[in-house]
Amino acid sequence: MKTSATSNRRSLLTLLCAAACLALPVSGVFAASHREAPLTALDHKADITDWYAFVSYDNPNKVTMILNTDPLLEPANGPNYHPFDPEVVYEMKVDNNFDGDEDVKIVFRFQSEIRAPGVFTSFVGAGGGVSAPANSPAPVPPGTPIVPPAITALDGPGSAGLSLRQTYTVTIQKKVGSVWQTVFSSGNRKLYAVPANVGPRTMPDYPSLAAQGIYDLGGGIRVFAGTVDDPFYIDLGAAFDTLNFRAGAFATGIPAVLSNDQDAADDVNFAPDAVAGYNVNSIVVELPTTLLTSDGQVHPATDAKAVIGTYGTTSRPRIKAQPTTAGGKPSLSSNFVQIQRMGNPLINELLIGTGDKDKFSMSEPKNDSQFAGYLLDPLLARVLNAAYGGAVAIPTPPRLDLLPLVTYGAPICPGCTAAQAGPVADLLRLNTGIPATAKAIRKRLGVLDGDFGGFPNGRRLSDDATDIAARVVAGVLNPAFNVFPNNRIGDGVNGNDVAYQETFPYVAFANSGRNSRHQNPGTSGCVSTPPPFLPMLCPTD
Amino acid sequence: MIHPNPNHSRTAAGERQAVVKRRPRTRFAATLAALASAFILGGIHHNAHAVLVNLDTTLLGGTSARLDFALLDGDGDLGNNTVTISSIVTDGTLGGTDCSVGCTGGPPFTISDALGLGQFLQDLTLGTTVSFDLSFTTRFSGNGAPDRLSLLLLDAGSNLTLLDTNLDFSGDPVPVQDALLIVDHAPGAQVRFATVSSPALPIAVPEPGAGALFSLGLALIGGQRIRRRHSCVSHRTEAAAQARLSTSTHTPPGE
Repeated sequence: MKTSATSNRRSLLTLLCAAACLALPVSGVFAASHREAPLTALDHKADITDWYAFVSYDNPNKVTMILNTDPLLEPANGPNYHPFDPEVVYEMKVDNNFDGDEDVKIVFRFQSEIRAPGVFTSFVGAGGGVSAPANSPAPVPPGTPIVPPAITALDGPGSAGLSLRQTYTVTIQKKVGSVWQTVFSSGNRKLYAVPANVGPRTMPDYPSLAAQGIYDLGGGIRVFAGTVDDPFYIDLGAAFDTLNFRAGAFATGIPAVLSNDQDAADDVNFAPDAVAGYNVNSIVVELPTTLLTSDGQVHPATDAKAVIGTYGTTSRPRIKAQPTTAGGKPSLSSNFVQIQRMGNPLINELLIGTGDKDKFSMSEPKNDSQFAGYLLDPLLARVLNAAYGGAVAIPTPPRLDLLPLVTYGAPICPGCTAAQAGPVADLLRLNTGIPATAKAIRKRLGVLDGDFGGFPNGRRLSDDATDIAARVVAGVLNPAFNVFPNNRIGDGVNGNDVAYQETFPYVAFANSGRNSRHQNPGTSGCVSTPPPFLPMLCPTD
Repeated sequence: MIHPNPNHSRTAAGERQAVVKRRPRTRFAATLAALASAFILGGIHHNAHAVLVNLDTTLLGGTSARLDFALLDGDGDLGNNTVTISSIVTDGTLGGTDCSVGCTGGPPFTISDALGLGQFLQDLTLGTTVSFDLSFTTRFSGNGAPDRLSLLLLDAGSNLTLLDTNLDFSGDPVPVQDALLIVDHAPGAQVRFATVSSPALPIAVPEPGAGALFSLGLALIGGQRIRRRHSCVSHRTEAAAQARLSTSTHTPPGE
């Protein structure tokens, strides 16, 4: 038997290798959610890159949600860097009664001010400030301040160089019957968005500056908004080159199939992280679970009421009339249309056809049954099946094994009855009764690796959405398909290039513009590191 | 169904001002004649600066919706226009209004394109009918394209249109999609109504034959009343003249 099994495995590997060498006309891809729909490919500011929701690491009675937008921000891209779009409404939405429709929403609006309109750049500062020298030509007399002091504060002393400054408002609303009631508003309180990290001269202590953007709003609510390191990680270039993964990065010798050792090496990369060194705009909120559940109570994991469905949206005014006078302001419609939404990190990216992505983006989750065709027979699964010459066997449609991602049920909601499954809806479901997993035992593969604190029970920053999504599509939620190679599919990037924070706001602060760096295609990650792969990060070029 | 209500005698503010000096009966007759003319001229095209609009929303009854009146600038600052929306009536339930963008009043609400965009929003739960008066100006500077008013019926939650209509001009200088009606503000402006919609609400207008017949009837009635009055006036004038003539000059028979 052992000989036979070994022989079969060798045959399988041979087949996989052969198939992987073929240039197959496949169209599906592993993908991040960066610019995945035609509409948002042209509208970066409203493009949701990732959506996260998880039980706070330091408080089991709180939930943290993170909405990231505006993908692949080059840290050095001055002079205006990466403000939030004041015309966009950013919202986080929560369903708490299993109907797929939002019952709670947290609304964010931004405003910009130009504090130094005569200055050519948005952020400027150095040391204690620079004054005009003795030979300063008239009419500027010597000693006149020219460059303000380095930026060390978001407001008050040390903020003079923060010319383009953004404030934002937070409003929390709950639906009572058919009426939305505001249960919290930040009102006139000044909440400042954290600017990009220009560099060490302008912002000599950026972590301290960024930390000033963490606001305790009372009532157990904390918020943060600003430019941060993009927490997502993926070999984007290889994925979009029609699954042209780097054979040399995988110990199996098969592109996109990890060995057991590689698979177990969380936080070790074997291929370049294409998102390394890029920033993203992030809105983070932490709030008591009691604000989110249907009855305002905290429930144990076995109780259906502990489970919520979450998603993020961006919306724009339905009409915008450009100004007819130079320097004028546009006229904006006061009613908004949803530009994009995101629940699970894979539905729109991996399953919905490009022709329907915009329709999906602008639709509401409760109406997702119209997209069931994509879900129950996903093209990506067929691509995987074809790309490996049949070696990656996939379940036969209809793919009911994918329903846990789009309906309420076990394992995320073990307490849900059939009647509480709700409609097919792309929501990131979170069982708030399951406490956060300690860092030491946190797994990048989340539930697939026995860590129920992670995706698809909510989603943490460290969850390897690419590998999880690919495997789920390959059928691993069905025990019959939770076998090699389906359960070893991956892109070779197992972790972020910089460490996340273990406390609110969890995201790593922004990469420096002055010292920005990325990973080149030639960056081979840690592939040369022999087993058991010491926990180290890939080099950056 | 969307159409000007032929049984309704109200006119919008603009026309009221224009005809305020007329004698009431003459105004009524003129209104009938104008309505009839509008039907006859185009069935669904109406040369008018004021019009009463009635939407048959039976098939969307119970839907939480939003009427979106938007006036977009097309010709710059020299040809600004206004649209006044008044007398909104429904057998459903009227909800809130939004008159915050290029909009004044309440009610009636007047939107202007002076800032580039004027917009008035009326939330409502649809019943079987919605009606309202529209009056508008028709200035056009000659530059660019005429300002354009559009009316859309939106889902109140998503602000996506509830209807797919044939008033779909995405490539126009002042684009519009899936409108129920549009007005291009220029001298002789016409209100154009959608004649086709899908999937939720078929937009109907009076059958051309019925409309024409009805219009002809209205025209005859109106015309007859005007003629009768003119005739009375003429007869009276003629009689008076003859009386004056007969008192001032005597012409012997046979001369």
